[in-house]
Amino acid sequence: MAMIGATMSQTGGEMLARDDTADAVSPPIAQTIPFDQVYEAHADAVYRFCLSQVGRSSLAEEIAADTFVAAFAAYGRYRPERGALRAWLFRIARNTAIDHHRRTRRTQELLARLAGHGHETRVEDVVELREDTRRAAAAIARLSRRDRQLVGLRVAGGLSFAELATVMGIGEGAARTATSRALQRLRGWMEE
Amino acid sequence: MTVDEELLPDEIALRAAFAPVRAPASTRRYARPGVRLGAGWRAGSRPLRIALSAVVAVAVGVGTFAVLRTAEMNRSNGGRGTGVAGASPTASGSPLVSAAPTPMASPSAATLTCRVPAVEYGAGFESASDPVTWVPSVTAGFVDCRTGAFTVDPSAPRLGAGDHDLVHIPSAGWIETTTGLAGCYQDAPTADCGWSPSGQEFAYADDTCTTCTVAPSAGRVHVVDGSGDRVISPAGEMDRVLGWTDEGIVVARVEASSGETAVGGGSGAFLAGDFGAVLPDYLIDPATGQETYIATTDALAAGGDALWETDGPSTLVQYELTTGAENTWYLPAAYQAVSVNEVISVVGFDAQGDPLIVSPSGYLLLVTGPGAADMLGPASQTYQIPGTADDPYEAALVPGGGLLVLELTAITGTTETVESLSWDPANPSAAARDVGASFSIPVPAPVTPGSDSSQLAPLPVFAGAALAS
Repeated sequence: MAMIGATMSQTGGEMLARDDTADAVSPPIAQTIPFDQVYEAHADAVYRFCLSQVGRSSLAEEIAADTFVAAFAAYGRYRPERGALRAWLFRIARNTAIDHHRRTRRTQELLARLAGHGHETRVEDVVELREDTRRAAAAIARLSRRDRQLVGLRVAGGLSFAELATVMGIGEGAARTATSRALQRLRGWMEE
Repeated sequence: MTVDEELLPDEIALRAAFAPVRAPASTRRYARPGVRLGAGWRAGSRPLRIALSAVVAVAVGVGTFAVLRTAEMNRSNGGRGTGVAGASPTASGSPLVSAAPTPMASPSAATLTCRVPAVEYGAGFESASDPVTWVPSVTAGFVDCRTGAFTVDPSAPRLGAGDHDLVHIPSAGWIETTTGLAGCYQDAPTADCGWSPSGQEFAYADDTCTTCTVAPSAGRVHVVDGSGDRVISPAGEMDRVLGWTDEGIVVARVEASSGETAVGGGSGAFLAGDFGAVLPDYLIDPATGQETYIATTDALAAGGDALWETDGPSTLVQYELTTGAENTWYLPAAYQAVSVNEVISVVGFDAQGDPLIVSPSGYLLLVTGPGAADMLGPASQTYQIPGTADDPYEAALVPGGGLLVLELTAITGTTETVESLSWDPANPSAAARDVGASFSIPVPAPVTPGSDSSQLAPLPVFAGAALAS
């Protein structure tokens, strides 16, 4: 039986889910691993990734919840040979975040034209985060969409470069190089 | 990732910043019976509710002259129009409260005068011959750039039954459209409709109209010129006009395969249908109707030789019209913002096609390239409405004479005060000039759907490019 475990990373004391499900044999995996276990193993990382993409805890909750709803609905069709479970899950999270961002932004743009409303900041979403988390999320928000995803998947989602490459649909080397450049850009901003 | 994978030099601090974050229990929503993806915010989300209420109820001007479609509200209430038949076009009906003339602030103010075509929407009335058919009240005239005063043009046509509108073509005067103009603003270079580069033709996507005397339509692209109004897009397509460039008319297309129910064209398609989704964009030849696919984006403006998408508070994404190639432009660091909840607003383009934007921090900027921008207007500190960060600028084209920029400078509970600036797109390095005009307009009280909107004074909306005089 495939296992989904969690290993304490040596960096920053964070919990990084270790995904062994890619080694699982024969579909459907849903018959062998309850989705609750998938959620327990990956919820924190998915939520962190969502937070890194939108910077607001309430929105991140919404997107993470939508991610797991979508994953739950599709879980019965998941096949390990098409990619590791974590990469599959983060691909859903990435798409959900993009979709949410676009819908929200277009809404804001339209509202700005229609009624002069729409650019609303929820202060409570910001103050409940730790200062270093808030600063990190704010700096990531300055990145372009692609760089934001790369950095978010890597540092907040905890993905390997191989997983990151799978989620982004690029080569592993390209993922490493692009992430490195984005992180360099980010460092400059965080030192301002 | 495996614990042995080498971390990049800049990762450790960032990982530590996110490490304490734990997923709230609410993210386990999948376990609830009957839950659907997106149900948490798509159906009853605050943005959508605001959007819909904004369409039917509130039009607080973005930099002034917002449309208050009281007529549409009456229609939605069963066509019980309360307006006066004929909507007598008298200047006394002007909703604009002209402030005391402001002394000329600069020599340039004395040299620039202009007037902007505008229409005022009244309540409309029922047709005497057909009680079911609604007759709109659209009063056409001009707004003086310096005083804000609205003067009715008695030569403008009176509209008959059905959903119509008026557009001012500089060479031909007022032209009646065959359908309503949905939610588009006719004035701005980046509105939900578009003026041709010559300023003599106008494109818009029509709205669904169940009471029209013409066949109901949705999202068909129309071109209005001196000869009238004609449809150029193929039947069955639902488009939104993003702009009109030298390359042609640029539209975003709501596709039936999107799985959403799009019930209206123009802006309505986005509000009620495939709301905010990424859409395929097409270039349409205004002469032949020939279409060319550009790219699939969520761009909201087209100008120069590109589509423009705003990606958060500090980034523009450019899509070249001829190739669909994507280029990312960051704002210069001095103008970047950090909030992910605010976006850049594109308000126009210069003669080279570079975008004129308002940054979330309130600057009026001409973005000339990646990381490069000229600041044309400083961030205003006086326009803020509590809880919002409203766009303080609005713009209108002045054919051959530049761009009239209206800067919203102060809002009280009852009025908005507006300053007029002018800017020459052909001379983009020149700073915006203060025209020296300052005027106030009343802020309409919010209304709720179903309430009696007849008590609200209508506001004019620009209906064409401004005329230098």
